[in-house]
Amino acid sequence: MNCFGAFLRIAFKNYFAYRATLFTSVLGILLWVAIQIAVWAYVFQKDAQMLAYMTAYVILAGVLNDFYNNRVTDLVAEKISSGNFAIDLIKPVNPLFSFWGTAFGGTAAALFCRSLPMVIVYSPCLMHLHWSIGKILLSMIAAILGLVLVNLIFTLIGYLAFVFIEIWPYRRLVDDTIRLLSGAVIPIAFFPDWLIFAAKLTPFYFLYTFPINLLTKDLPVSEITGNYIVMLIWIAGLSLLLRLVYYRAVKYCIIQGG
Amino acid sequence: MDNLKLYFAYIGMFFRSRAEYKTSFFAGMFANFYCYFVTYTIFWLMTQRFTTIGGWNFSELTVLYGTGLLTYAISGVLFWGSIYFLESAVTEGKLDILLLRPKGLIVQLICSSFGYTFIGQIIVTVIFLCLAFANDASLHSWTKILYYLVALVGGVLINGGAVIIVGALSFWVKRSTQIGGVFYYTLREFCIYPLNIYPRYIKLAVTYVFPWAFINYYPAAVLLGKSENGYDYCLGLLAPLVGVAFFLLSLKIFALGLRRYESAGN
Amino acid sequence: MITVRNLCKDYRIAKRDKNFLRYLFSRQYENKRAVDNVNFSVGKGELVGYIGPNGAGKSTTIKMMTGIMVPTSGEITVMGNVPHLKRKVNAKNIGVVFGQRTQLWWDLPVVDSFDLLRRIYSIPRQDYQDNLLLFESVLDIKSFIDKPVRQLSLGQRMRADLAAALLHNPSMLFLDEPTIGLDIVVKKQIRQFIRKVRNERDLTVILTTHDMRDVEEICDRIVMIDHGKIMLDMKTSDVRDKLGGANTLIVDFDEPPQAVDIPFVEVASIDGPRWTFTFQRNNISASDLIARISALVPVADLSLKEPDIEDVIRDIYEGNIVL
Repeated sequence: MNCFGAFLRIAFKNYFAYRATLFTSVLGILLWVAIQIAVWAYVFQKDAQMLAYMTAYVILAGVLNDFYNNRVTDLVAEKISSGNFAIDLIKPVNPLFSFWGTAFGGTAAALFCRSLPMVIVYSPCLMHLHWSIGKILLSMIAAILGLVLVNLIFTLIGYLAFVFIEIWPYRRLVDDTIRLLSGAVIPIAFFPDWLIFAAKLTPFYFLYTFPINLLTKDLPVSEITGNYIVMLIWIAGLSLLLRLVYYRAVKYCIIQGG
Repeated sequence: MDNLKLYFAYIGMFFRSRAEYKTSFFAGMFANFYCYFVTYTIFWLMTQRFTTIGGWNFSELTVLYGTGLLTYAISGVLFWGSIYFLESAVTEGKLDILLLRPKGLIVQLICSSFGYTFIGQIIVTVIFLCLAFANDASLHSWTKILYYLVALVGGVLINGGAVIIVGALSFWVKRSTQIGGVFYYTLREFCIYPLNIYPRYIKLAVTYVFPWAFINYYPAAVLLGKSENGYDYCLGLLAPLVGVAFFLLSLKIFALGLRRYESAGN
Repeated sequence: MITVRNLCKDYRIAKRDKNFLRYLFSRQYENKRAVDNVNFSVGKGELVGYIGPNGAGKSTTIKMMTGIMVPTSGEITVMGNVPHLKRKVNAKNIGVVFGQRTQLWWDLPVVDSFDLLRRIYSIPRQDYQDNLLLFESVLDIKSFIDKPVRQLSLGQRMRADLAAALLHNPSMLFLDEPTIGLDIVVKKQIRQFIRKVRNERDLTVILTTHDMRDVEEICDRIVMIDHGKIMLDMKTSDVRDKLGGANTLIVDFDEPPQAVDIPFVEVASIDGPRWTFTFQRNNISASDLIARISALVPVADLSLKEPDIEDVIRDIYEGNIVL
């Protein structure tokens, strides 16, 4: 756990390496959220309640976007294509630790330097929500489960580097599917029924809509527990798959020499 | 003419060297195709729900967005790969090698950056644009199509100019792509919806401070007869000229940056 | 071919502030003079070794001579042109090889890289073919000309890069550490090639290196720079003879003599039958000395050690020889 923290610190420091990074990334997210709000402000110009909901939705989705956005695929793939994956097997640490540590460090840094200033700037738009510690906690649990899910998925894609020379196309395919089916851009509730059904069949459904609704709405207990359970099932399934892939990879490295 | 021959020689070499990576080649193109297919889908979902945005229906929004994307993709094929990421060429010292050759730097950079992945978004955009043009009978006139082609050239020049300016920034600052990310990519996102839906100052900002609205909004408004007033209509007609001016400006900035690079090194 | 007069180059270096807030909002600079009033000229066909410790200002000077960096003050002319004002004209006159990076295209076979260069430099087809033939025979590039550059060994890549720099028949060649990281066999091959093209084409060559064997074996002249200033500019043989200190002759006698007394020659040590003499070349030649010793007593074996350029240069770097 100690070395996990070390990786986290390094990633955090990297984020501050250039001051321009700090300015531009804050400015970027402020602008991005402003654009979304402006569009919804037009669409719901006659429906103040919907507008307030959508404004909060956009801001929270912005935070979640930073939360889920990490480089774990690139980290894994780079290790593999540079041949360092096999070398790292010598170290007494599971390589997943270093990948996830670095990735979480980047996430923490992005949350702290980008999302936090953004939320502060737009905080007047969040005042109308009925905050409660319980809601925040429930929402955070959902987001953390979501983060684990995202990391599992993107780590798996990273392992594709054993098969393909370039893997960015595959990461992009998943990224874009998430963008569409998770409600990151428009809430799933606006979708036609058949698409909502399709989204529910994927793990992406729980990434944005669920944590945001936990905060902004009063969901029935049955739905909350139901969603948690489905998320945990996804996590268990993907972990199992990752374990299998990892052992295959190690075996491959030992026999083929990376 | 010589430069054109050189460009095609480079592309020929590119395809030969890429032949070994066939999977990557098609996967990269497909990823871009899919990415923008998703974006069009999101527009479609929006219009399914709200019928029109700012009075523009799906096929009109497609023309608006498609014009921006198509010109961006064409400029991407030409300029993006090596010029937008000039900062890495600067830090890796690749720039010096190009400077040691008897050709202009921009020419060499264009030659060496055939952005094949952009073909994916060109394909998806052409499909959606064709559907939109087929749907809208008011667009079936030769003058409109001719105007549209000229406007596309203007849009390519503005996008290309922006890429060149972002690249040139790396002569002054580290991490120029992050600045480009905000002022080019993010700010341009305003123009994926008709500008009349926003507060007035946003339209002013993407018209006079950054010329992104000339890429797609003004030309599309002229084409679809949706200009807010006569003044906007004139801006739409002038858009190709704005493109030429902006491109020349970007070359000037690049030359200035290069002079700075030559005096400061890296 | 090249004249460099009162050449200076200053760099502006940003100082990093420990204070985070000050680091974010302000920045201080200081000037560092990398090249300080440098003067030299290089004639046609000369092969000059341009040496100096790391950070001495070598590559800055090379960058200015090749036209990719503008001097702060002073002037340079390369074949009548001011390089940074006429970069493209200058580019056609010179060839440049960097040992550390390649100008070839990583994913392309060598021959395709050459073909692109042919177009970039507008090389006439006949010249191009002739040059390819020459390189095939001298640099033995035929064996790997169809391989992508990324698959080449370092030595092969270096040979391909040398060929690439010479394709357009430049009159001047700049070599920046051309033998770095190469094994002895390839090093030797590269040196031979440099000498050969120099002789065949009357090429002017400027070579920077940290390997003094390069300088010793192929350079006519050494220019040494340190802290931005020229410290030394003389013929390679003069460096050895004038600054190199004593030559050493080790003689094994069958029967050691009582004493050897030859003018200008000192006996440095006696170890049984093995005697070590030191002498200066300009006072007495080695053959003369050997003749005079063997006239005194029979000699069983002998060996001659000349001063090493590497030792001389190291002594200068370390300040043991003050110029």
